[in-house]
Amino acid sequence: MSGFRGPETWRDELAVAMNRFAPSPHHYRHLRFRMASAHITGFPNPRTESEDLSNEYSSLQYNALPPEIWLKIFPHLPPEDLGSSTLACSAFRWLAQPLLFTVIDVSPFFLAFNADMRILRPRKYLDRTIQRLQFYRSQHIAPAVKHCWISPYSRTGFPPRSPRDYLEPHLVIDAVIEALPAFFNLRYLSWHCTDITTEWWDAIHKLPIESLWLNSCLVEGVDPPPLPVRRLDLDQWAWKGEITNHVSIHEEQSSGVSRAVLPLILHPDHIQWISVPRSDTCDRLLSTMAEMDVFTSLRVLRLPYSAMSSSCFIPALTQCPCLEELRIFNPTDDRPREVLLDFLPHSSLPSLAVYEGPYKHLLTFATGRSLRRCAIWGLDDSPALCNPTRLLEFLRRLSSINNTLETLQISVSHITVDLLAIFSSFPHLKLLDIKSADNKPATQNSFASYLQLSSTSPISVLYILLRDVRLPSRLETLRISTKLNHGNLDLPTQQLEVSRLIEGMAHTHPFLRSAEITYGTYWTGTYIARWSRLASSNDTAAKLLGKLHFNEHRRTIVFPDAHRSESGWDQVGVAEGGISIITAWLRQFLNKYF
Amino acid sequence: MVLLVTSDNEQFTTEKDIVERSVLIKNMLEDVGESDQPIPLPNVSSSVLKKVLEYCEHHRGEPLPTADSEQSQDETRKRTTDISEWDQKFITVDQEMLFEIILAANYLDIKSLLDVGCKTVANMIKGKTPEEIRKLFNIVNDFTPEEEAQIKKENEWAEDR
Repeated sequence: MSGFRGPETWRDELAVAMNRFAPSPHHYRHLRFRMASAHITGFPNPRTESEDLSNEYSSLQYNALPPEIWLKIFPHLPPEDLGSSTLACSAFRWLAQPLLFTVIDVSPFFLAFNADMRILRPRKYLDRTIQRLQFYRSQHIAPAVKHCWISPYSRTGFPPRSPRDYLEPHLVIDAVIEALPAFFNLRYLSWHCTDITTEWWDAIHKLPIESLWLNSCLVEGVDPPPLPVRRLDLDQWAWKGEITNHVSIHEEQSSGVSRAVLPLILHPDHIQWISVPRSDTCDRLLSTMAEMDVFTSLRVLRLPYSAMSSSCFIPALTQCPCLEELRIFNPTDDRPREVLLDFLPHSSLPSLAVYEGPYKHLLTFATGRSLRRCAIWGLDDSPALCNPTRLLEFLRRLSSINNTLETLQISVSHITVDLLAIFSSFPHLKLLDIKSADNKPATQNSFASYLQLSSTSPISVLYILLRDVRLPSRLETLRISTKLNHGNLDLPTQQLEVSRLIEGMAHTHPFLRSAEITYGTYWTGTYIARWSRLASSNDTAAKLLGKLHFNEHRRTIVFPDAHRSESGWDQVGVAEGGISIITAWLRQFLNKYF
Repeated sequence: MVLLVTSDNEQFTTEKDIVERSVLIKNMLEDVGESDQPIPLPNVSSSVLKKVLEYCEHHRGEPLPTADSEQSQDETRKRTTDISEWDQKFITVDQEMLFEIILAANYLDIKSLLDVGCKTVANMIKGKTPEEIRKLFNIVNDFTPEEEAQIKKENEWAEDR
């Protein structure tokens, strides 16, 4: 059998494929035609060319999709379904199993909630880790490993523990460090709350790490070699393995990432992305940056609000001529702070495309004429809300110096007529997102007159207001969320009102493609109306432009089932009802009005 | 207007901005320039091309994914199997047609359509047992009971902590 390819060949080919996990279709074209030529036209396919294919692949003989397509399908599956897929046949096993092992996660010790003492692991954890690493190193798994996670924050939950656990954490890390060179696609390292020894750093700096997430650590030794990375996250709270914008409460006692580490990992030509929510680490970062060369690749900078009052904030920013995105995390405590930036030399600041931060300093960063996206909050009202009257003034000035804005997200204490009117002065606005914390229509502004007009519900008052407002003519997406409630309106009336509003807006704003209105509170129930324009809205007879989904999400008390256990008593559950409407009454309404 | 010829020798005339959702054809047109020459698509049958063009026509004018956005969306895209309503309806076809559409989208390099197809197959797998997956795709179980036990054991390493 001349063309026979053994399992090893097939696996090699797969390994090549895995090395380029998300390649362009061109990479695979030759592979596809070779492996799947028999399957392309017919289904199911007779085993015409089976002799040319390996035994490993034979389980897929009757299947029309070649391996590289399956490699695009499996990433959409959650771990439990990937597990089932690995057990279907050997081809699926080789394709799907590696996706279960893209992260090596070890916790050499734990930090439990509010405990600042380390919780050690049992001795057998080391044995298990060594066995696990052995499996990670197998031929089909190793190329898939992209992320190494060494952290006291478990990604998957905490196993049972015993006070007699005594394993020295360094032993676990030693084992992992020793295994790392086998994972040639490893690009991401998360390292939390353990100082890095000279030996470990020597091993790490030889790896092609591109993203580094460090929490509370230093690098030991004299003159450690640098590790120039592209993306850097420092002192961020880890929640289920994901980065959040907060600082871990465990680490508030510790001093964060040490200053001496920063020059090792900050390379002016390499670094593209930095995120640091912790104030003191950020101060160290900014002063380090201010002393270094110009950062030629840095595009994204995410800092805490306190950074703005650091004396190094402006010197550091002027070092970043390519900066496109500046995001200022809002303060999580309620301490009043005032930052004065008005003396800034505007000309030396980078020309931002994206600004997220307090509205008071928006204008400082909006002069570059290239601002496209803007998300603003304020400290007028807790939590980080803007007072609409004060915000209005800033938006007015913004519209006079910048008309390139495409996306605007604001968080306000309440919505006013004047605020809604200002948006039309941004002619290129495509997305408008308003989050409002009002739970009753404000009486101190022109809302009051609307209130007299209508004896209906608070949310209806907002609709009346929105009905008359002219939004930017090219607006494509509108999202409004408010805490206004529905008063005593029943569900069908609520649906009718919101659909009436949105369909009306869709007529006057021809570019509007989707709208979302969320209202209510957790306690009274929240309601979401999602509308999207139908692609073929030429159906003039019906005059309906889009389709609306209306969802009610409310708290309900679940009474115990007489036949079930007593533990069902007093359960509070959340029930969700969804209705999709293009109904007769809506048609009637539209025929009447349009 | 662009002339396409399918594997079964059927000719399709379509507008340039519709067919240019296929990066393959877009690149071909750029290479060849303005020409009345028909473009042969030896890997796509007429019934499949009809579906593919229906998709392209519906999504005409939408921005093509760029390399940049691809990178940022990669993570979120992978985790969600949400498909828009129109796409959902469009892709509700028998498995043979679904696979053919996926292969055509891959060949023609229409990323969004390939994505919809792959998500649909992923949705078909969700919640199924290994045996149900085999049945679904007409797969032969080539494992010995020992191998099966071995794989189950291996998969447990992923949940270790």
